[in-house]
Amino acid sequence: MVLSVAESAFIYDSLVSSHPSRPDSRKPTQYRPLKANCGFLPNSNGSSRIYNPDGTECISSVKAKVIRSNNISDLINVEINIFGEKDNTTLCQHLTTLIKESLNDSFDFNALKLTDKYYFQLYIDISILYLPEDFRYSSYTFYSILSLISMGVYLALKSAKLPLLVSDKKDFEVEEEPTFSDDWEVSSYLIPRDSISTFQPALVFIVGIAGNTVIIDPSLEEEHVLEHGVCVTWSNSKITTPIQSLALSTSNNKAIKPNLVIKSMDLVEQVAGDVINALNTISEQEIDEFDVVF
Amino acid sequence: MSRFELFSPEGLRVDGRRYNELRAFDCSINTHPHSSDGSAYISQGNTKVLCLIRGPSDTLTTTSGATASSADEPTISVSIIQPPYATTERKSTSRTDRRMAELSIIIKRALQQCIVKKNYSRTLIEVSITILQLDGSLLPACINAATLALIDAGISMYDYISACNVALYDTFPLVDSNSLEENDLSFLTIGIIGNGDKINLLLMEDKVPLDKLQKLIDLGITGCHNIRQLMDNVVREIGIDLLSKKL
Repeated sequence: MVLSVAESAFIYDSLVSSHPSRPDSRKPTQYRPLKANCGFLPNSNGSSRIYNPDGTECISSVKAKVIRSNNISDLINVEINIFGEKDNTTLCQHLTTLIKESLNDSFDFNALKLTDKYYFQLYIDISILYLPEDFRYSSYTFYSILSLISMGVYLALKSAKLPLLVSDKKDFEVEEEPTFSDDWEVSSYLIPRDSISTFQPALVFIVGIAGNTVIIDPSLEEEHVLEHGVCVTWSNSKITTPIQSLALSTSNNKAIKPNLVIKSMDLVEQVAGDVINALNTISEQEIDEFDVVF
Repeated sequence: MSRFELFSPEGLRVDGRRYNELRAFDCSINTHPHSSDGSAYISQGNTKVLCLIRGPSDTLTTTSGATASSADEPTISVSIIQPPYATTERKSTSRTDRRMAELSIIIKRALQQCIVKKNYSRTLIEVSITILQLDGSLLPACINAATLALIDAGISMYDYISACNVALYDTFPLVDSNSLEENDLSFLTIGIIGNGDKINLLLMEDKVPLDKLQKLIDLGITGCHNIRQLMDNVVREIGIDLLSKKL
């Protein structure tokens, strides 16, 4: 979206004022409405669909495969496919690494350990079905979809189920391939739902900075005037790495003050609990029929 | 021969259907009202396809770079995306996959036949199809989804174009084949406009004995008519619902 000088000056001024007001009258801690469903792809272990009112839509799938390896770093694989973008652009690669690294840091790999020799390998595939037209022909970088992707991955991982192992867990001495029960009723969640062994995969939040104001989930109008963006990762009830500065649009970029990074981390701390609760509620809804999602 | 008994002497197929039964069919339209002019979702058994249509527009430029140029008919650009998770075994298909390019040309030709061309000169219609899940009958699912999305976009058409696959087991034709059947049997795809019996699309990539061909085509036409009826029921239901909200 191309804003006139007067429009962008107005939005900027109302953002940086002592009582910041946003163009869509949200609070600084408030998200735009999102809709999400999960567990609708019978071929995948876990899946999710999450979409913004402006049409940006992200479908994620988690597939598990058994491999014989003890190299923890290749157990999680991420692939992102953006509508209208080639697979090997720097943007895609950057997003992929960000998501992969954040998951690697937050993941409890015991959940993937199958036997002494075998592990589950996860393939996380993300497709962005649509990006608003405005996005495409303007100064925007696509980094703001990172927060949507991250929530999609969180939901897909939360809804992922793994089959029950029926062969022996201690197979270090025996030459035996793992075998599984055919019954999906006895399958267990990849991320356990009991409070002791559970863990949270990383969630990435996008915070916009203008003047001394920090806002969560900037909209297209706001991104146009923001001076800077920061991505903050949250997992297992605390802020973790990666924390990174991201240019959300190339039109009005300025340097960033260190205290604003701290401020944006505080902002994420305020909202993260609510976001996690909301996502958990969605992931715990059972889907009886796969096709009701669309 | 296959590891499975594809057609038992009692007349049942691997998934328990009779020779002339379609798989569970479900469809909905206007699934993505904000991101497209017309959208539809279709599921035939475990094949699930999403179709988004943008246009008709004279200013749109597509991701493939096509522009509206033809003076007496719409330019239709079809792109098919198959994400890696669509198949049971994860498999990446590149954007320039030749099979997908071939399918999109076939779909484009089929759609060109059923759109009222003269209404849309110098416009571009962009059809993008996402295969969420694949279990046989890919081309029919894409065609059926595209028809519904075109209807949702309000593009004038002569009638529905419906398609289905028919496989041949020995002397028995099997309608709406799944991937197990397609792996082992020869099959063909038939597309029909409306309720007639004129064939609009026929794709046969395997060998089929000439004397069995008529049987396959006959069953395919019946299958297409059934699918058209199912789609029509849903569209009418939604239409009545929309009208009642207007009053």
